[in-house]
Amino acid sequence: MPLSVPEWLVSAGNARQLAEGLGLTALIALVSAAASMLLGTAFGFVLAARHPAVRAVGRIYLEAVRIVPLVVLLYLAYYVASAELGLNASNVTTSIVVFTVWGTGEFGDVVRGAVTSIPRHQYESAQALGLSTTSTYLRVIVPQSVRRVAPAAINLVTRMIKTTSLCAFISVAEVMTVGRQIVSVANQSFQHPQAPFVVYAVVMVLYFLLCWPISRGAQRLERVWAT
Amino acid sequence: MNWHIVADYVPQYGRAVLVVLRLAAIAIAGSLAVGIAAALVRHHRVPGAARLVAVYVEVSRNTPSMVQLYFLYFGLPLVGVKADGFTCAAVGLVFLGGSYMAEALRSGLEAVRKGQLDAAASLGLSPRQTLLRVTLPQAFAVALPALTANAIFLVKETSIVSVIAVVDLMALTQNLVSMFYTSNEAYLLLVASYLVILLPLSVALRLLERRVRHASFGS
Repeated sequence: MPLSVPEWLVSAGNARQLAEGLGLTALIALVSAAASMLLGTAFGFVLAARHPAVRAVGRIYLEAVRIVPLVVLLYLAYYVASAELGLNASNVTTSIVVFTVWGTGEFGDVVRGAVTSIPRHQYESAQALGLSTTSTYLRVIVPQSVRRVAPAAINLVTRMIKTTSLCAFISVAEVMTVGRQIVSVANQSFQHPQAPFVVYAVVMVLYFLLCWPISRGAQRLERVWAT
Repeated sequence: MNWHIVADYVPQYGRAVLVVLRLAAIAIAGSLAVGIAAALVRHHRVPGAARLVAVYVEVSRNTPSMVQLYFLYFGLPLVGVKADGFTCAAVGLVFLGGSYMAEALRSGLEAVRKGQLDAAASLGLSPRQTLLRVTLPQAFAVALPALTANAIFLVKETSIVSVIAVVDLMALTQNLVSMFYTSNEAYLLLVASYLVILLPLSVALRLLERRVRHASFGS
């Protein structure tokens, strides 16, 4: 008597494995997103710098991480850089580093957009009041920029979550890889011909449940903080 | 780095570049078609259809394309739909890109001023003429930067289709590395191939944006 599909999904540790995979997906995404926001904020000021040479270096970095597909970057980092440099970094660490390198560029561009979109008179008024450059940024520019950046920052998290599925290329056991493994075991046992349909549908729903609320939150913020 | 090997591999990479270009062209054209239809349905709040399109956009944008491809390629044959990898990849990328194009165009449509529609009506243009000659051209002009970003995004997104047995640049590279251990040569050609595709495209799209900018009334 073969198990019904829902029974089979919960049996043999399948559900537990999927949950663990989803945990790893969330971990990689959150760590990468947090690191990208920290470094990206600094990078945003590089992109908005007064000195043209500084800006040019920033732009080159941004274009470089934007133009090469992330799968290719992951591959190069894992199979070439790690090997050549003898780093021996784990595939999870490699993923986080690559996503942070990419996310820093993306988030930096968002920060640049926010910083440069603040009207000039805000800077000038602050100076007229006798605020130092540091105070001008800390008390006037940054608080206004945060509002403009917030929705994009939240969207970066969902993009990171979706991007983690690429880690399957370097065998990280995130939720996509777990799904594939469950399907291949099911295919070998010939018990559940509808396994791929069910498992990939479940994985799709899991991603959706993770990303959709965050996307909605970003939309809400955008409406509330519309400037 | 053995340059003889690199030279030997060039024709194979050339063929894989063509696969990527074909797939990307279908994906971009199909996404634009789906995007225009979906954006119009949502913008004009067509009863029933607008809700359906909203669900499609949310699902498409909140799940990774890798899962969408797996679902199409491994899941659909079980309900009697059979398609080869390339077809699945094309359908999957249109499903993904359509929602991104739709959102870009919808914000473009919303940016068209009401005065433009009033002016079109007072000139006696029919609804169809208004759409084709007034609304869509202006919406496209406003949405162009987002549309070009989506086009580049779709080209890059083709890099995962090797997971459903399409012999693209990634698949070719994996094969050459695993069969002949010529990793340096293969990776060099992999990066070079993507640059050959993406650099000219990105420059061309930027020039296009510059040319169209005058159509968006300085907004």
